[in-house]
Formats: sequence, C-alpha cells, structure tokens
Amino acid sequence: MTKPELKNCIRRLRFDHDEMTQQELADRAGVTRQTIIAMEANKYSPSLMLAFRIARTFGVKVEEVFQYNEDDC
Amino acid sequence: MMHKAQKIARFRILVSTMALIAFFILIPILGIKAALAGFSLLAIQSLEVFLFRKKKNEIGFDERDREINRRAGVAAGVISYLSFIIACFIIGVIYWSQQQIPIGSLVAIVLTGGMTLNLSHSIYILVAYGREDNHDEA
Repeated sequence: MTKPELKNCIRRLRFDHDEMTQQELADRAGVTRQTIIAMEANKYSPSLMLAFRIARTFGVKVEEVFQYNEDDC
Repeated sequence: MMHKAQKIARFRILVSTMALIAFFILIPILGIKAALAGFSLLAIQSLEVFLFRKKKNEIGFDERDREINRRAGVAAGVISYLSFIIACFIIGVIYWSQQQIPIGSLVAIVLTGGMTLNLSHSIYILVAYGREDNHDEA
C-alpha cells in the first residue's frame, strides 16, 4: 500500500500566471519565500487556510493546485 | 538566502559558545565559582530583539516557521530534560560517599539544563531549515 502523498502544481501555475516569482506568490499568500520553495519541493504540506489562499491567488480551485496521492498536475 | 530564524539560531549558538569558552578560560584564573561569571555573556542574547527586528511589510514567521519552532521546542525540551537527569546522576555518583553535595552542584545542574536547551533548540532549527533542497529562483 503506497503512502499517501500531497503533490502540488505551484511551480507550473506560477509560470502560467505571467511567470510569477516565488517572492510575489509569497507576498500574496502571506508567507515567506522559503515556505513557497519548500512547498514546490514537496518538503512542506500547507495548512488548509494557506492552501485556499494560494488557490485564490491563482484564481483556481484548491484541487487544481494540490493533489492527494498519485494524481498528476 | 538565510531565514531570520536561522540567523537568530546562529547568533544564539555563537553567544552560548562564547559563554562556555569564557567559563573554561576563567576556571584556572579565578576558580570555578568566579568563573561562572563567564555565563553572564549570555545576556548578549537579549540583543537579538534589536539585531533581528522585523522590517516593515516583512513577513516575520509564517505557519511553517511556527511548526519548525514548535518541533525544535519539543526536541530541545526532551534533550535538556535528559541532560538534567544525567547531570543529577553524575553529581550523585561523584558525591555519593560524602552523603551531601556542594551548593555549586545545583548551579551546575541548572546551567547544564539551560545551556543544553538553548543549544539544542538552535541546532535543531539550523538542521530543519538546512535540510531543504535549494530551489531558489532569481
């Protein structure tokens, strides 16, 4: 049985949104740039609040940013 | 780019190390009791409030930083508790035959626990932040 994993498409979504930088996304989401770096590297799973803020920044649903288990971006 | 928490942790390790070095240097000069004055250097840590002040519009600590800090606190608590117990045992073994311990031993036990707490918290923070891959962009 595979361990459940939370993946994200933050990097792709940033480039799709006028090549938004990590700092810009961090400022809009209210976190530090290092947190964005950690999320993109799948080293950190955000809280529900932060996940919604990031999704709202991109104007998409949470499921389009974060995927549970083996779903692809 | 180093996070503010990493800078603070490095500063604390530096100050704690300076205090320990001062203590060991002063022992042969002033004796153990007076050498404890070397730990007064730990007061320099209070300067971190001014040295690492939050800038305007800067996000100080976000949820991830709070989580790392929380885990560092737990790890530091466990390590300092263990060091406290070990220090008590060592003092007990040394002075068992005398059926009494010098008052300075109590100071030594407290300092051991305090220094261990301080250092292990800072080291955990540096390790936790340092473990990340660097995916920095310009």
